[in-house]
Amino acid sequence: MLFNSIHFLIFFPVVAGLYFVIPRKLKAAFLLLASYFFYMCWNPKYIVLILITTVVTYTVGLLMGKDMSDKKKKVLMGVGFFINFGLLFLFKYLDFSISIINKLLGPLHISAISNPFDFLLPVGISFYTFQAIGYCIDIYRGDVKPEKNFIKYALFVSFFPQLVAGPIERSKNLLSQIDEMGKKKTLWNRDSIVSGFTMMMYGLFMKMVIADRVAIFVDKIYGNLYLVGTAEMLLAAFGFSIQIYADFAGYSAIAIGAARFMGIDLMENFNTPYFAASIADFWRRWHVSLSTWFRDYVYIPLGGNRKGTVRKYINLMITFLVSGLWHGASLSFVAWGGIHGIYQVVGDVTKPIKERACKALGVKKDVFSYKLGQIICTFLLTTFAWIFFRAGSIGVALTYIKRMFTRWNPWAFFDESLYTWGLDRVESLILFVALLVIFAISVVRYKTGDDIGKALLKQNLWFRWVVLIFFMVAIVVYGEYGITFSSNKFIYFDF
Amino acid sequence: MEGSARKKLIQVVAILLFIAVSLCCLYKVYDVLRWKDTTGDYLSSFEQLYATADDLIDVAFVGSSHCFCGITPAFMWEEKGIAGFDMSVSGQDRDSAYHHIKELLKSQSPKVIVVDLFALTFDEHAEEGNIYRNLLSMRTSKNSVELVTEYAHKSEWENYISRFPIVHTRYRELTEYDFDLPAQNDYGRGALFQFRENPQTKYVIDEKKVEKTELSDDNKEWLEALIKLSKDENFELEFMILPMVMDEELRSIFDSAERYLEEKGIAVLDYNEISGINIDYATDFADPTHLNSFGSKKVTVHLGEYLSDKYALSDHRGDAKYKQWDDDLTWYYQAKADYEFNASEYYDDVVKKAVSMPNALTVISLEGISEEEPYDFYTPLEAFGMTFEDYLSGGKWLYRDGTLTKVCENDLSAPDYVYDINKKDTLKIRYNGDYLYDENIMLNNESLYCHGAKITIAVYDLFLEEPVAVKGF
Repeated sequence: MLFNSIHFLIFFPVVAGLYFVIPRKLKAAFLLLASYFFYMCWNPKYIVLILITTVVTYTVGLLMGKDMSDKKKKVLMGVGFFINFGLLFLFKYLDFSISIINKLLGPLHISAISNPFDFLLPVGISFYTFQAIGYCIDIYRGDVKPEKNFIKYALFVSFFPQLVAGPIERSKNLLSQIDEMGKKKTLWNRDSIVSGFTMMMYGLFMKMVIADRVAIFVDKIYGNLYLVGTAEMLLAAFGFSIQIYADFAGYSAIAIGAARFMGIDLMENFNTPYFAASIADFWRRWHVSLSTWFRDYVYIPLGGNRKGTVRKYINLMITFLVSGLWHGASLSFVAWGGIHGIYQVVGDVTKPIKERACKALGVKKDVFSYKLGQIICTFLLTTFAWIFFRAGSIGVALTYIKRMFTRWNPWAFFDESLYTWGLDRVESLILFVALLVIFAISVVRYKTGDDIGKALLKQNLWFRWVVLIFFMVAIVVYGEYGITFSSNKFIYFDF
Repeated sequence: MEGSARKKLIQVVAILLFIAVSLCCLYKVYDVLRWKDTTGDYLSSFEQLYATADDLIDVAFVGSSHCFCGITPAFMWEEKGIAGFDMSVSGQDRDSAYHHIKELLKSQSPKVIVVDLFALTFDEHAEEGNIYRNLLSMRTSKNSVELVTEYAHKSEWENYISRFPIVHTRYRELTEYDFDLPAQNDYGRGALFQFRENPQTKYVIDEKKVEKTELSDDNKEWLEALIKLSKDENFELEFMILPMVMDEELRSIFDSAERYLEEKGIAVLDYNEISGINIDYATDFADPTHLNSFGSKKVTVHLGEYLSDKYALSDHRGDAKYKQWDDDLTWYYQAKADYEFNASEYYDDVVKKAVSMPNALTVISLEGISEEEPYDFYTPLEAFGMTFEDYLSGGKWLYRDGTLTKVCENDLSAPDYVYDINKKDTLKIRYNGDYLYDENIMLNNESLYCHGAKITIAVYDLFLEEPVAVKGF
């Protein structure tokens, strides 16, 4: 069930409405059933995978909560890791691994092996697996106590707003709120409803008006690499930066909004990432729930920056390469992660040189232009890396980059031929206005720290209504959906 | 009431009010974007039906474009005072015909419904637009939802029922009529007026090639459903086949339907077979399967007499409640006059048509006229009441409701003449020095001037509120 489908339009009000009125003790069980129903709308069979993950991590958690030696805990963790990452490997990485092995076997003239399984990738498997594993690690470290109530724990793993594309929640945050669910006296909270609804509308606006509209242009350019020149390819590269942000941040906004509507606060996932002043800053703002997961459960356990500079760089590279692999079973994703790792390492190595250069050239660092320059540079670097993310293979990405810098056709910016790639003048204008809207909202977020749900709550009623009705009308009229449009899935469902 | 309870109540009211305002806004947006066309050019038989007061229609004609081209209720009204209505939609299929009748019966109690049998000849629409016309023109109701579930594939139900997924992209094609429908939707009676003559050759059917097949189960089911509906809803049911260039395959289907209905004691009015109406294949067709208004007149007058005799239908002429039928007839003659003016080529003829046209605003521009023209431009203009001196003095003349008024001298210092014809159209007339300027006569932002002509005659139809034509000599 997609968030931008008529099914969710019916599902969510019914679930939220019933959630407010059913007895407190039944709320968690009700949400669990609703979440399983939500997931089973994609493929009923794959609910078994969530159940396995839930039962295994629940059991591991309970056992680790008992008084036992570290060794035994490690064994338990190993079992939990093996089963969960095993499932993830089987469904997501087996095919990829076999293809790598076959590539290595080819030159040796050894016949290729075939994949004995041909599974469809279960939606959201990377998200709920990481969430459940994170819970086990938290218990192992003693950061949280094991959840004894199976229903509450199962809901933690499968809470429908964030089940298929995050945010990847932490047990500390979500489990405690699920626990509170049965204790709250008030039926509903107006501020939560208004703020949650606003987030949902904003998310749908980002996804349907912006991401899916840009995708039309981007898909056309990537599908016709040999027919286009620098102008189109540059625009498509920037276009994909916008598309993936509007798509994924849009999804996260809907997820956070849906949960907030029911009084549950999910962690933030995007905080104006394209206003980042460095790559490190970018990763503090982009897909925050995943980057902090990798920081807490991979980078820091590897030693972080505590074991010297070289080791720090190695840890950074490992973390980013694994992060790339998490995004998809393809070398191009690994390359994308690797590029971000290299950005960070190079940035760190050259930091003293930059400092000296700035000093020698008299560059003022406390002025807007310096910050703007940093933001632009960071945006250009992330945009370059996204080419690998979008291309599908390293070969295509390299071809794209080569042609982007060698097929110079600046006249395309003036002869209106750009309008022939899926977005004509009217569609481009709609996109431009929509981008201005999210830019304005991002500025507010950047300045105040409030997401649009919270920011709008501080405004007067008439203004809230105008903004919300604007979003609704824009989604309904200018959203990409319906009979002439094959609705794009959210990009991050495949991760 | 306690403070917190009052606060909660206010919050609930605010939320409900917000929902109401949002729904109103979305409804207004839908009203602009919605599908509005069943015949083309924003003219919709459903709009016309919904604009009709309850229980006025005596006879309804149900069918596809053959019906709204072949049956013109205005002729029936003119001849017999019968309140007829074409409940017809382009490409109307069997399911749609059934549910369109049900929609009609919600507000009307016709004595007779005449159903065109062309729907028997196809199962699915060849054109996507016709699916929209048939499925989206009705107001949303149980009936419209039933039609969708019967016609459309299950995977498309949500699109057709909620409608937004189909119509929302219409923002790219909105025109003034999406905000304010043409006035003909208030009084039109479903027919399409066509005056173009498209000569056809009658196909001589080889009876040996006409297969004597049995009517398909789907077709039988449809006919049975209509017969049952007529009994349940207490109206008389007639079937007809309208004139067309017909081949053996179509003939075979119609023959099987006629045989099937004959067994049930129901005769079919087959206007391909009925003698005496004198359909002329050279002048009465707009295309091989559609009559023009001249052919339609022959069929409609015959059908009107038949129905009037058989069902003793009342003559409503003169009854103020039936003004829409009067207006529909006026529209017909207005459209005919417009067509004839448009079609005329020669100066004398153009002036004659312009003079005699009802509800017309005519602008005559005389620039560069001299006493010694090689052609006598003046004499025809006498019919407008113009003197020879007027003619020689040139300028631009506006003729409305029998009044001739000079509105602009051939003088560069003369001020612009601006005339608000109605709420949407404004005429601006000026002299620009000579007849090579295009902006001498403007209707809103559109030029009504014939570039390079010494005499321009521009006609605006005050009844239909649209420009008719510009002729230059």
